[in-house]
Parts: sequence; C-alpha cells; structure tokens
Amino acid sequence: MRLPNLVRGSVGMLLLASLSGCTPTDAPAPPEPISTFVAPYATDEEALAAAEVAYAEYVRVSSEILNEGGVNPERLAEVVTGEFLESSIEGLKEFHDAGRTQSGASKIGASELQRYSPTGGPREIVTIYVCRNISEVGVFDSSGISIVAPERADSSTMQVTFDYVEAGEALLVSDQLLWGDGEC
Amino acid sequence: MLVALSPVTVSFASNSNDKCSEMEYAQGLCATAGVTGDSVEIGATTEVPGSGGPGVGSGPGDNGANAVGVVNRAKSPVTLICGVGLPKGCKVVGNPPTKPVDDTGPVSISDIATFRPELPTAGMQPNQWMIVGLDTNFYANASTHIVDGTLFGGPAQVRFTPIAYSWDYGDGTSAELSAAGTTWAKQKITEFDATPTSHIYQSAGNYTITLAVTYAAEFRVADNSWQNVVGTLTIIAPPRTATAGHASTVLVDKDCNVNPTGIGC
Repeated sequence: MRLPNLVRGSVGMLLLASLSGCTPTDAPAPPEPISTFVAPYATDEEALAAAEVAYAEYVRVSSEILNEGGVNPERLAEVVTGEFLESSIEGLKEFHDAGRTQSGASKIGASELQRYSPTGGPREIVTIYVCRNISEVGVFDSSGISIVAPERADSSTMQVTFDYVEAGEALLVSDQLLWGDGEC
Repeated sequence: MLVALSPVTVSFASNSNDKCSEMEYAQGLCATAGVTGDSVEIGATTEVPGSGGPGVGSGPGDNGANAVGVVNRAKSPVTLICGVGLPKGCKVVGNPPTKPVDDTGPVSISDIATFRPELPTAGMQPNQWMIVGLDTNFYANASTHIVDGTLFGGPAQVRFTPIAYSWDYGDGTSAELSAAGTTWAKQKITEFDATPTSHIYQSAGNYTITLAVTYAAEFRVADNSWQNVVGTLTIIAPPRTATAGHASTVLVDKDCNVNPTGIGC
C-alpha cells in the first residue's frame, strides 16, 4: 500500500517519540489464568503448614471415632470430604455394627509437599506425603481378638490430598493412599 | 491350623477402595499405591471354603501363610504377579500411571493444574504505535508444545494446543479469533494492509492491548497415547501498551515534499 508522505512522516515522528522514551516502559504484569478462585496460600510453605494442621485434625477425629467403636461416624465430616467421606463413614458403620474396637494412638511424623496448585481451584488443591507410625494401635473384633493383619507395617508413608473449602477457609482430606511401607 | 487356599477368588479393588481410610489403615488392609514393577500389593477379596472349626481368627500370632487362610476379613493384601496364578496379560491395579486412564474417568483441566503452558506473547505492527484509521496488525506468539511433569504420582506429559485468541484492544472493542495471525512480511503484503487479525483504531490515545490465549490440553503417561483433558486453560499474555496518533496532526521537521529525506519523512 502506497502511503502519502504525511502519513509516512507521522510514522517517523511516532517512532522518534517511542525511541525518546515517551511511551510507557513499565514491565508487563505476569499473566494469570482467568478464574474467580483466589489462592488461599501465598507460598508452598504456607500450603504445607495448613495441610499439616488439617491432617493432624483428621487423625485426631478419626482416632476418636474408632476408639469409641465407630459411633457417630458422621463426625468425620468435620475433617473429610467427598467420596472419601462417604466410603469412610460406610466403613465405620460396618466397624461399629461388627462390634469392633480400636485402642492406642498413632503418631504423625515428618511431612513433605508433593504439590500445591494455587490456580487450579479448590478441589485437590494440596497433596502431601506424611509419615505415620501405627505400632501402638490395636484393632479387635467383638471377642477381643486382634484383627490386625500380620503384615501391617509399623511405619508407612501416606499420600494425602486435600480440598479447600472456601466457606470454612479450611482444608479437608479428600483422598488418602498408603504410598509405601517402611521407616520414613 | 492350615486351611487349603484353593479355590481362591481374587477381585481387584475398585477405585474407591484404593483410598485408605483410617480404619483400614489401622487393620493393615490398605494396598500400597506407590509400588512400581511387575509385582504389586493390592487389595483383594479372599474366599475360603467353609472348613471352619476352632482356631479361626486366632490373630497375629499365626504366620503369614496361615493368616491368609484363617483370618476372616474382607480384604487381605496379597502379592500378585501377572502370569503366576493369574492370566499373563492381566492388568496390575495399583501401578499409579495406569490409574487415571482406567479408573478415574476423564482427566480434567484441574488435574493438570501443575502443568503450566508456555507464556504466549502479543505481537503488533507497527510496534507499540498505531495510526488512527489504518490497520494495525496484531498477532499471537503461541504454539503447540509439551510440558513434562508429574500426574497421579508418575511422570507424565501434557501437550497444550492454542485454539482461540481473545483480543481486548483497549478501545472498548474486542475480538475472538481462531487464527493466531502473523507479520505483514510473512503474509507477503504491504505495511498497513488489512489482515485477518488486524484492527483499526478510531481515535488517538494510549491503549493497553491484552491477548488471552485459550489452550486445549492432552496428557499421556509412560508411553501411552495422548488422552484428551476435559476443559481448556486460558492464559493472558503480558499486556502491550501503545499510542495511536492522527496522521494529520503529526509535526515533521520540514515539509516532506520540500525535503523528502528530512526527519520523519
């Protein structure tokens, strides 16, 4: 396209203007995915710390229910969510109906962040690995006979995933897997 | 007391049973998820014919071989090896990379939240300025690329493909385009010509131009084929600021007809 001299002249002047620093030179802002979800934790460390607190609460509430023979398993909703909550409550009801009991307390050891996904939404926002020791926990049937599997390891690493509940600003356990047995 | 182990029916745990509740954990019933290789421990149902009798459920004092037969519990971790008492081509449950494909249904964009596509950038010609009433050529620098990472505990790759380009021209207008666009030179056309991705500003001023690129994603684990990821991911490119001016109001050093080589002509 052929341009009139005036236009070409203006092009040159605008170019000079930009070269002489008249245009803004601010560094562009970092990009962010379009989402209404606001990341609840600023850093990985904060996410891990929150997950550790939530997991300790999960173990405490679970242990309380089991040590009481599985009564009122709905209490678990304070610390667990989703499908994992449903299956856990179902299991606790069976535990209660069968007259089983549990004694002793497990220990929570060191934990490590697997991932924190601040921009992916509230579901499965944090996953951690956490060390557990269950050597002092006993489980018994209605006759008082131990039903602990002989191959149960004293120490294991769990992979635990949490959902973030915006209303309560809390992490709830949405999945737990036995990642591996052995000292950790 | 020893009980014959045959016939033994083995049923693989469903996905929900892969989860390890505190109750199952305390009883030692959870399958180990983080095991790789041909042999894994999985949750299984063991059925024993009714020989019954005293000694059933005699507890952890029994040795392991005995316990499988006599302890009456729903799930017993059993080491299974494909080809040994099981069909040779059997699929091992518990091997993390196979789980998302077979057990958990479609993978959604939130599952791959830790995989971030490369940052797209917005290009424009002329660079950072426009002439009111003439076409400014905008184009997106974004291409299909693969990001490595971890998914469901195993190594995985996600392939991002740009599928839509949303331009906010900063003048109150915007455009949703399916083409990325490119430079005038690559389109072999003259400067200020219209392109499928060009835009004309109607008034002078400073504008902030924002490009958002929407990516579709696919993932694969190990050497499996690419699987679709449900949903898309939109990433905003660094905004561009630019100035639009009227050709008629720009001053030049001298009349360009008198001095065609002067500054600005």
